[in-house]
Amino acid sequence: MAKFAIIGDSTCDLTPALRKEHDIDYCRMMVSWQTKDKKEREVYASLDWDQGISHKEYFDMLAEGTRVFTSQVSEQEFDAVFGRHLEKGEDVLYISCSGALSASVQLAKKLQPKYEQKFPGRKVIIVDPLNSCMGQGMMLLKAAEMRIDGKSIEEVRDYLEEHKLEYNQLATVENLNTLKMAGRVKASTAFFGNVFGVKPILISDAKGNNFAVEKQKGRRNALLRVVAMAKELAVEPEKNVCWISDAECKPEDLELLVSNLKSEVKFKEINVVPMGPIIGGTTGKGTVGVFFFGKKVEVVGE
Amino acid sequence: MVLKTLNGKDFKSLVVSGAKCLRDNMDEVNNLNVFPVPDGDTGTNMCHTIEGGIAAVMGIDSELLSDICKPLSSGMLLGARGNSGVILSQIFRGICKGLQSKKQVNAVDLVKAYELGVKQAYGAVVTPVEGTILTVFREATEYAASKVDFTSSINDFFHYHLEEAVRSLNNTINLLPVLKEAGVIDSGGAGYVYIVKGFIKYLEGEEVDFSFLDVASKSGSSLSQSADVDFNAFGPDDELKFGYCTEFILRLQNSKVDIEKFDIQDVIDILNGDDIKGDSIVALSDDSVVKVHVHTKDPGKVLDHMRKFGEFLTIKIENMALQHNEQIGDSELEEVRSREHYKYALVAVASGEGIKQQFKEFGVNVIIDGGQSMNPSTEDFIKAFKSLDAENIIVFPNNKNIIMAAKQAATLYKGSNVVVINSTSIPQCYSALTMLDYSSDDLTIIVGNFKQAIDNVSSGEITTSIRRTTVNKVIINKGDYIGILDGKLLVASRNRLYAFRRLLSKVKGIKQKEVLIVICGKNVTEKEKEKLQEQISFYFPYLEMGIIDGGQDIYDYLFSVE
Repeated sequence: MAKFAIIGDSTCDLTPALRKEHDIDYCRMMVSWQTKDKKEREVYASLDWDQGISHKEYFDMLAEGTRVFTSQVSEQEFDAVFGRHLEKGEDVLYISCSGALSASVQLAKKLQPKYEQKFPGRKVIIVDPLNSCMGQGMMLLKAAEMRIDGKSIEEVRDYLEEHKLEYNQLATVENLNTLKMAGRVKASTAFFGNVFGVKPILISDAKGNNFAVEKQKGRRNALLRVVAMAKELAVEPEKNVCWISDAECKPEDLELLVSNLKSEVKFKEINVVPMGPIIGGTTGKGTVGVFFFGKKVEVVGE
Repeated sequence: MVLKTLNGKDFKSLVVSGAKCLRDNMDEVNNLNVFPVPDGDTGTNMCHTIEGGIAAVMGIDSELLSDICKPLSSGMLLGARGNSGVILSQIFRGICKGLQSKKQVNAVDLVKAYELGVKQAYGAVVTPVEGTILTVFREATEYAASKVDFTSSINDFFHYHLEEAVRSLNNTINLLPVLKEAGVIDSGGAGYVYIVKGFIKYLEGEEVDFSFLDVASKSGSSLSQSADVDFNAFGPDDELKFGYCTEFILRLQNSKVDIEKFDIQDVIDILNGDDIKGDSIVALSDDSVVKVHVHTKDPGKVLDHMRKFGEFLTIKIENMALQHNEQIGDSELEEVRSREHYKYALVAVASGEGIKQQFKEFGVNVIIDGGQSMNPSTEDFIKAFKSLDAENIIVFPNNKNIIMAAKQAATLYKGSNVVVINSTSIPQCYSALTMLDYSSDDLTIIVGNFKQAIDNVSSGEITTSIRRTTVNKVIINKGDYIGILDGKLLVASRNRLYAFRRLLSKVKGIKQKEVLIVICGKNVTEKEKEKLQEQISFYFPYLEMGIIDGGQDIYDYLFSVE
């Protein structure tokens, strides 16, 4: 049985340390914006924050009203990342960003025959996790764990395909400006009228869209509602890790969320990671997402 | 003159004379306001209410109580505005119930009818408050009842009634602490006393003066005919799009139905049924009289069906293309043109262009122009409901003095399921609307969300005092800016922004609040708005603030905090 590489992309929120520990690689998307002196700037959507702009600077820039444009993984990037593993004789398992949010997965599927032709006998297996951020990240970690347990690439794929809707996301944003500007969230128009103080709760729905499933008045209520919904949806939390993707939330907001998750849901462990530039770029500073293993998601946004 | 018995003609004259006396003293009643704000409207509301009743009996020249009472009662119900107006309409509804089966009555019968009035009025109020028009009317009725016997005249009854009403009115100040502190008697009670004084004037021989009723005829019932109809609105090739507005009064016949067991719902079911497909249905019954309003494309079938129950007293059928044309100038009903079908529709009371615009953007389907100093009538609400083709209508009265009229309209209107939210301010309504979410498709959840939103809101008002007074131990000078939080006057200051800040700091648990929405009145300048924003973000940095140009009168600032 061949060794296989586990590969994510820029939306998976896995830190350099986590990727190293679990031997996970990733393909980079691109992100661009107009700087204050009206120059176009385009950089890799790096999870290492090594492109000359820090996590804090990036989200502060969004809060000031800068609109960023994101682009999917390019063919060259797939060639480079998949290529370096295939050349070593490894098969490739690509767990992409949700196909509803990024076309990266379609491009990878289109390129699949090319790699299998170029590297005879090698497999390129692609899973659309219908998730992003640490939802996607948790599935990558699960794959790495199964690989250590000696499972084959097909067994890992089959497991993820069967369970992908059990990776739950509950996210909320600090304000609606970035969300409205990017227009990447599904919701009825009345949902985001010109309203003050309204915070949506965003799930990754059964088709992989970020869907505003309900709204709350005020940040505190929204965070506490996330906790209440997590309590309702989590399956065996005492045995599972809860991950939080954070886009420069206020420390007190994050503290409120974490302490309430600890006391109310009793996850085995709660870890916070920085949210990546792609999803964060459409939801804005102050976005926070809670990810955990739970009941199967059946909601489909309008 | 001394009346041994009361007939329909005299009863009508009494009411007209009472209404005139009330209108003559309307301003005085309006000024009996607990707060030093020029927005008292009890007198105006009660005038509109009683005159609504008179308009309905103007054309009726009958000596029989039975001919006068029903139209008088329903005219008042529809004309009712404000809480005192609604209570007044219920008082007369009860009295009329007691009189309407008779041709004429003596003083003892009159007592019984007035006792029904007490029962009806108390029954109509969810939590009756003593020290109001209810108390004045009840005590006056009880006292007259204890004095009157078979030897008494109608004049005796009303003299006793007035004597006690005046005493009771002067005592209201001792029953309600808010009145005592403000040093005023109850305005609704005062309005009622003027009506009874008018009755006495008639009995003492004063000529009945109808001239003041110009105003009343304008506020008359929509069921009355309109003079100029443009027949060109429906040409030879036009398609019957809106159907016929069909209205009739039916006398139930013993030979056709068991009148005792008759249920108006049977009529409504037929009108709603597939054969007729009626809409905007209003159906009321009172003993053997059934009054129906329905829009249908086939009025003939309606008439056929209804004859199963009885025979017609009157019928009016109008092509709505014509009626429609008349309404187009009517700004508050502009939505009537589209007649889109809604599962859920919203009706809100508001004044101020900015606020109205904002509410429309939020999805309010019909806005009824009105507010504190201009309470819409029950009929205004019914008109708004009729203009909508909606399965469910959710109503935001946005003023505690308008809720009762909205609820009365909701009870009378059968065309849709109408739910009245107890919203008492514009900011509350704004907050509720921001949480609008039909996605559950469940009325209980939708309404529950609104109610929850409203429960979490504190609303404040900043306005100017028109007199020197003391309220809640707050010393107020004329011209001071006063701050009212959830109906309680808490601050007064020469400085408007300081009054705002102080009032905001009085909100319970302000440090746990997150969202502040400020609706600026027409007197607030751009510069002041900037200053306000600076001050709020300095003193209340944890509040996320939104500013709206409401353009309202009287109240310079309205705000909600949650």
